[in-house]
Amino acid sequence: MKAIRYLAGTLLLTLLLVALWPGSLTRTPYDRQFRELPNAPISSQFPLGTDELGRDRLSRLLYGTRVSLLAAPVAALLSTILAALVGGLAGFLGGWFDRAAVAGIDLMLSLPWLFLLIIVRAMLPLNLPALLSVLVTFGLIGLLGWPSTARIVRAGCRTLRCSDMVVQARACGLPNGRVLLKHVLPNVRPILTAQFRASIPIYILAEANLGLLGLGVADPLPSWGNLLRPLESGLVPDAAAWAPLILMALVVSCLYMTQSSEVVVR
Amino acid sequence: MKRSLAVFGLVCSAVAAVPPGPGAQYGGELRFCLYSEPKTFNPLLVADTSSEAIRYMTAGVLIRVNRQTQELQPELAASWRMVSQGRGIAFKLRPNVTFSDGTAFSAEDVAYTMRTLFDPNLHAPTADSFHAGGTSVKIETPAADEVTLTFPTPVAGLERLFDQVGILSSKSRKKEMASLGPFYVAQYKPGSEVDLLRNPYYWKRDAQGLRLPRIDSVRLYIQQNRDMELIRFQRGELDIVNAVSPEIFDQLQARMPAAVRDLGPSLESEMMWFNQSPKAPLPAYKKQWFQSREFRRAISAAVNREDLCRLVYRGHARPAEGPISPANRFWFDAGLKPHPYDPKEALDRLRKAGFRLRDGQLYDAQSHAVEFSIVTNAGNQAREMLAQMIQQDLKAIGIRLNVVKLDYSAIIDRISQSFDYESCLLGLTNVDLDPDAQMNVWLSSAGNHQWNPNQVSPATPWEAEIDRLMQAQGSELNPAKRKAYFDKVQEIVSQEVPFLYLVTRNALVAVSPSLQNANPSVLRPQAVWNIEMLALAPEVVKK
Amino acid sequence: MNGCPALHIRLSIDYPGRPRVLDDAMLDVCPGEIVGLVGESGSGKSSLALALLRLLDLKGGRVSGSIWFNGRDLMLSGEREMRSIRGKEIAFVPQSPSSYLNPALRLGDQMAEAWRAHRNGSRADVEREVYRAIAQVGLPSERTFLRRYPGEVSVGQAQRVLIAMAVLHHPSLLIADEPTSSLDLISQADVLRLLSRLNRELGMGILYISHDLMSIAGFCDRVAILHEGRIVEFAETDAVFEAPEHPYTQALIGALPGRVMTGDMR
Repeated sequence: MKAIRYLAGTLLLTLLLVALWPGSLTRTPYDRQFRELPNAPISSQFPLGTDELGRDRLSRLLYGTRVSLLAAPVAALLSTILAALVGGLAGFLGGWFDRAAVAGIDLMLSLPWLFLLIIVRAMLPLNLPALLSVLVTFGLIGLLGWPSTARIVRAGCRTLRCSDMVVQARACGLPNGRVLLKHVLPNVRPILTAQFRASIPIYILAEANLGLLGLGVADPLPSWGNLLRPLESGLVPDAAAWAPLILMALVVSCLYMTQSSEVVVR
Repeated sequence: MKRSLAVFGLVCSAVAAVPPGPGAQYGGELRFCLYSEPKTFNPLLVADTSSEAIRYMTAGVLIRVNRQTQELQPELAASWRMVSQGRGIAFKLRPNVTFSDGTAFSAEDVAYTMRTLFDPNLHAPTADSFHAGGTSVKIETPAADEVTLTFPTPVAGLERLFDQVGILSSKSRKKEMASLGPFYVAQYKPGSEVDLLRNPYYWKRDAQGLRLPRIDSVRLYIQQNRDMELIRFQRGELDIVNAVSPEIFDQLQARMPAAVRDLGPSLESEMMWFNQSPKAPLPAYKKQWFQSREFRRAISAAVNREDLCRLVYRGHARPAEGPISPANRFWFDAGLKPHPYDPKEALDRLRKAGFRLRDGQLYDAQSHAVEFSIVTNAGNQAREMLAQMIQQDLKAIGIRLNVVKLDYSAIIDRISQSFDYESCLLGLTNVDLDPDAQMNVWLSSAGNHQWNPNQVSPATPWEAEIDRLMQAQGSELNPAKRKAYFDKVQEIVSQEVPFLYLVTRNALVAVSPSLQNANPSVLRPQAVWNIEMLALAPEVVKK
Repeated sequence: MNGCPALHIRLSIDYPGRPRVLDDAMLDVCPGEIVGLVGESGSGKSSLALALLRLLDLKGGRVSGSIWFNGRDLMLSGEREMRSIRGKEIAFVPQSPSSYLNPALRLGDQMAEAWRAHRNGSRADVEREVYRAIAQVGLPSERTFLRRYPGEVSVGQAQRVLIAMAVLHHPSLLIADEPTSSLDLISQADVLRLLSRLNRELGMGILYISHDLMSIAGFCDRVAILHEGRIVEFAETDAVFEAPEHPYTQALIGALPGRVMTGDMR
């Protein structure tokens, strides 16, 4: 078990390094179109072949890894923090804040997001640098992803709020903020970490779907999301087109394995 | 009149030329998909493609535009002639024609249809193309088989317009559901299917004098999911796929080579244009670029159209010459050539317009780095690929192109309301073969004059010239002269490039090998334009 | 005992659906005095403890009456004032250490939180005070011990931690809610001896709540008997044993196997 954890950790670390320096593994620019060689099979020049525009799939995968592997966890973190904040305060404080927060969460969950995102895109400037498009995209995903997690956190905090340990903390004279920070949140941390982990693959795919609304990572920058899009069509894709999916599955399972180790240590 | 008769002979010989195959095969059900819910079954109110397809198969018309030859062909009108110096048309109707419910067809029905069509309260979309204001159309029935229509002014391409006018019965209790076409609407299950049955009273006979249509019924599935459509086609549950994407075409070709057909250039093309509207909320220097002919020509020369066709459409497309596709046989201007790919020419033109290339980045005369965005509709994979390739082509001449994918309504809002965009990549489909239908695009005062709509007076001399030529072709009745005027319009457009025509897509269809006499056309309704002649192989009929 | 009681209460407690859990109960504790409150389980004695700290709303109870403490009625105090009283002037030692300690926080951190609730100080100050309190209750004042999580120490040790936490700020009143119920007999005696010593050393009053009259008899100056929501008897310990007035008290004492004489602790 421990060996698997180490393996998973090493893999993640390697992927992270690759994500940080994709140029170390490929010298082909991710946007260079080899127009004479579209849909090329696997070869020594193109270890994963080329896509329909003749771009090196490996290079796109590596650079896409950088975008998705760095941005999705940040978005997941953002939404988890927001969820902890809103859900935590609502469940813990109760009263009007709770009612307002629950109403807010319900509203967020019931809003026609597709429609709102379309409006958001319409409001963004047209000439958005690629890096900014990544930030905006994942930022939005993070900002929108919190309500369902917040609902779970709130439920957790509500039970904690009248728990013995909170009574004890209050009996010691701890102010609300400290009780929340030191006694309530650490005990909803398992919920938060589980949500954080679960969010990452969801957000990677969400980015792909936002691409359909014109909100994804801007061309020609690759991301796992836009690399996965060909798999959505009714066509049977080339074997190499599955590479991003395999990589994503690998990352997510590695995340689970390394995370479970932390729980065991504690 | 002479021409139409000649056309008729031609059609008959074309029909006779179809190999007899297993003789006259009758019966069976033809199945294919409509991509949206039909909005109406009233032939006069048709505005959507699904309703249009149903109208084609069910409604009888006086004159048909043959989808293969694009020539006129007499249908319910046995003959016609122009009268009152081109302001009117006199039809002589085919005798012994009966509606699908058994009621007889007469001049009274035609007059009733025309009165209904021009009734201002009906708001019939078809009526608009006649440019005729309400009651001012004079409708006369001098005899039981004669109808004369007189318009206040001459109507360019008048005869062709009757292809869209399905004749209603003035007497039938079934109202507009009584049909004169090969089929009639038997059943409609909203959201699921429309069933058509053979019109037992259909007047047309084949070359051997045998009754038509051959097929007993048509089942139209309302199916938006194209992947689903493809799967069902491969299972043999559908006989026709009217629009196939290039990727799927290639896949199908590998598996069922007999089923796919590349019909050559369609009426659908892709184009881009720059926002030249003075109302645009853009910096003045950018407006200056977009209003510069040299800039636009340079961009056009920098785009490798051959590559676009080869990569995005897998060769099932060709570089576009101009607004009229070669599929439009009469109006296509054979003298026009697509702008060739020539980055050197592009840079020369840019230099001439004051632009400078430094370290791989292009700057304008005031040292602004040249960067602009192109909006296109999100979710259209071919268009996204086009944009990425144009992005790469422009990078080669030092221009940064930002591709912005927006949903369709946001694009429409930007290009027609707020004018907050720099350039736009969209498709263009000219359903109507006659350029008179494009009046609303080419006139500088028109709302669909996309690069700079609703001008009070023409912003440039060449737009003034286009205005003049368009007006001239609209009031001219001689087709050859009209064509000369419109060729000139196309030539100006090719010189000034308000629209950069990129590619003309090929029409790709899939037709089940068991469907006999299929001869799909690039014009709607593609594979079923000769529905009455189509027959199903005996083994399919038995099933 | 001097004339002015440090604490004088007259309280009623209702729960939704369970009215009058405590019915006009009167009780007082003089400075430095140990008062025992005895009642069978479910008689409302734990509710009384939390009501005194104005924390019963966390458990859903509604309190009416008055709590006179050092010359003010705590029933009229705001939350801010209550917070400054809890843990500083009135401290609380709860029933079961396992649920009242935060399982996700190290013992040392929980104590530090309790200390910081009322005082500012450097990390060194906090550490010094925590060590002192830990030593005071007879626990090993070592870093390794304080770095443990509650799950990693014995129940007896955990209970002592709770006591140490309660006496951190030298409160003038300590409410001990059956602090020995989850301990074995020897540990029980230890805890009582500890409380008794702290009572002497710090001069703090103790309200000691228990279901077992006998075990605390030798420890309390006065004893109040709670029965069916009412204080049925409240007198000097000796007097209660020698001349119990209420039939319930009489039954309580009579039920004992032989008469245990009051006096020094066993």
